[in-house]
Amino acid sequence: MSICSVESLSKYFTVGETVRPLDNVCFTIEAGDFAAIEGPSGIGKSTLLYTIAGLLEPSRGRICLFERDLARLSEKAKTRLRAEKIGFIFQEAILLQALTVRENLLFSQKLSGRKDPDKIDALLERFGLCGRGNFLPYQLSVGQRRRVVIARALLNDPWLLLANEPSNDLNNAWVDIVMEALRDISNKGGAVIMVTHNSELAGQAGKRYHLQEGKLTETKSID
Amino acid sequence: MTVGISALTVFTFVLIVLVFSIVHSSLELSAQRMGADLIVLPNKVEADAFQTVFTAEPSNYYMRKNIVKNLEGIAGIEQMTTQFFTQTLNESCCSTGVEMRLVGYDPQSDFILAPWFNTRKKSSLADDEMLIGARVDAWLGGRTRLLGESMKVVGRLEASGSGMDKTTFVNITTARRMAANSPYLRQLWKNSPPDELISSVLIKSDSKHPASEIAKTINNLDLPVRAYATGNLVSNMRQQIEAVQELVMGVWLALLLVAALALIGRFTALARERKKEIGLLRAIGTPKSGIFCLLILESGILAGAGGLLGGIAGVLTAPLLMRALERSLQLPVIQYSLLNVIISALEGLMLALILGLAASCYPAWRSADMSPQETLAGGELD
Repeated sequence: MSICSVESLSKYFTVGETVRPLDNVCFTIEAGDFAAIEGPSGIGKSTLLYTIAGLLEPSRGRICLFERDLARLSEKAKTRLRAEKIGFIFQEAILLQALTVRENLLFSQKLSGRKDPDKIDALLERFGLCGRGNFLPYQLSVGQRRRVVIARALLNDPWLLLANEPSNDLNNAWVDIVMEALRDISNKGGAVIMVTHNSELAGQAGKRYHLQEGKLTETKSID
Repeated sequence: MTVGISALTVFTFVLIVLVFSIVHSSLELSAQRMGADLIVLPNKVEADAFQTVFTAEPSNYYMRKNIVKNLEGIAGIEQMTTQFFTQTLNESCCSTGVEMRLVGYDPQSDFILAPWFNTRKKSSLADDEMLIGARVDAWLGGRTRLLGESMKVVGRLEASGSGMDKTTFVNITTARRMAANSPYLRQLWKNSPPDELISSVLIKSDSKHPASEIAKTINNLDLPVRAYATGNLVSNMRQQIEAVQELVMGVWLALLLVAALALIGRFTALARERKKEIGLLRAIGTPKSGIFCLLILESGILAGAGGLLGGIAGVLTAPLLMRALERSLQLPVIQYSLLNVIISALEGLMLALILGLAASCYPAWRSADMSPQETLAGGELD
């Protein structure tokens, strides 16, 4: 089953001059895939993730998520899709500042229409945040905040996980745990698209792409 | 900061609305409870007629008592009674402690205090008895010195919101005797002894003749008196107060405009500060309408909290301002009405919420409509 299919995707921005971070990008992510996208900083990797998530409109081309054309979905339907089927790890560890760690997770769970406090406890434990459930974001270290963000992305058992530099701010031990959690998603029939600068991490992915001057080229594929 | 702006706006609003509404209702109440439709005063009182009628300030004006004969027979007069004004002195011990009006009422013709006497089954005050207004500082049943004489306090009138609340009543014979015997007031009786004098004539009109018409008739008699319809006195005073109120409200509206602009700026800055949070909310599946409502709700809570604080501060501060107004403008005794307090506080809270809502609508709409890429990455392409 195709989780994400990108056909001739282009994205242009005009800020004084026209910038083309994505130019005729094509790729397909199937259920069970773990794909890594590499490329220099500022080249458009995050733009690709935002466009796949329906947060940015493509300038040209087509994106199908779960075999549904994003262009044909209303804003409300795209919002629903993100809440229910997509997990997003942002490059920055952004949390809702007024909510505690547990409330941040509960809020995300509520948006997907679920209520499973046990799942929250399990994720807090998995990411070493057991005693931090009632802490506000400012009371956490950068690494802890990053782990909360990852827990939030995994909370709703996403069919597609979009991970933007998931290893940022983490030490090696936590990077291993996070990578294992990401692999779990693909092993269970979901898919992961990970943007990273870390070629060692990218090497752990089944598919590997490189983004350069708007063009996406596959450098490794699963047999 | 947001709470502070909202609190300040509501504080000034509640203060102004509460003070003026209470002043207006006190005026109405004073006129209603005075019990007389007209008052006739010596014409030299003209400049201070309102003060003489509606406050308890000492007022030593007199006219000859035979003037009453000239008023008898005027069409429309249902009841008529005379009063003799003198004043208390601060006699340091066992007195009322301040200088205030002492009124001698005529037990034969009185209809002002009659309701009180009727409910107590008492016909009149004895020579050593006094009746005090609701806000006169004296013990009921105790004795107090008035112009050198020891008087028994036999009753306290219900609060009326008029000058009667700070007035002491004795019968007219006692008042004249005390005034005549007081060495401090002796110079007032050079031309005529107190027994020949009265200070006011209070008239109740019948239902067929308007008070203003009777006043006109009296004023055309060419007597050294001036008749005032109490309703006209109130409406004149009300006009003056309304003119001041309009001026104050104008200044307040300017403050409201500044506050609204400050809040718009504040809410815009708050939304900008939380750009990334808003982007995150959009990315994890919060609809635009949800973000709009969230921001509006937050603004409402902030403005509402400010409104609540401002309202409480306004309600607590209003009595101080009202006492100052009462003293400086010689207004009737101001009654702090609970109903007015509740209405003003609720109006203040509503104002805060409307202000918060109006000021946050545009910033909230802008934030909800922003592209998530812009909010999350600050416009950077990555």
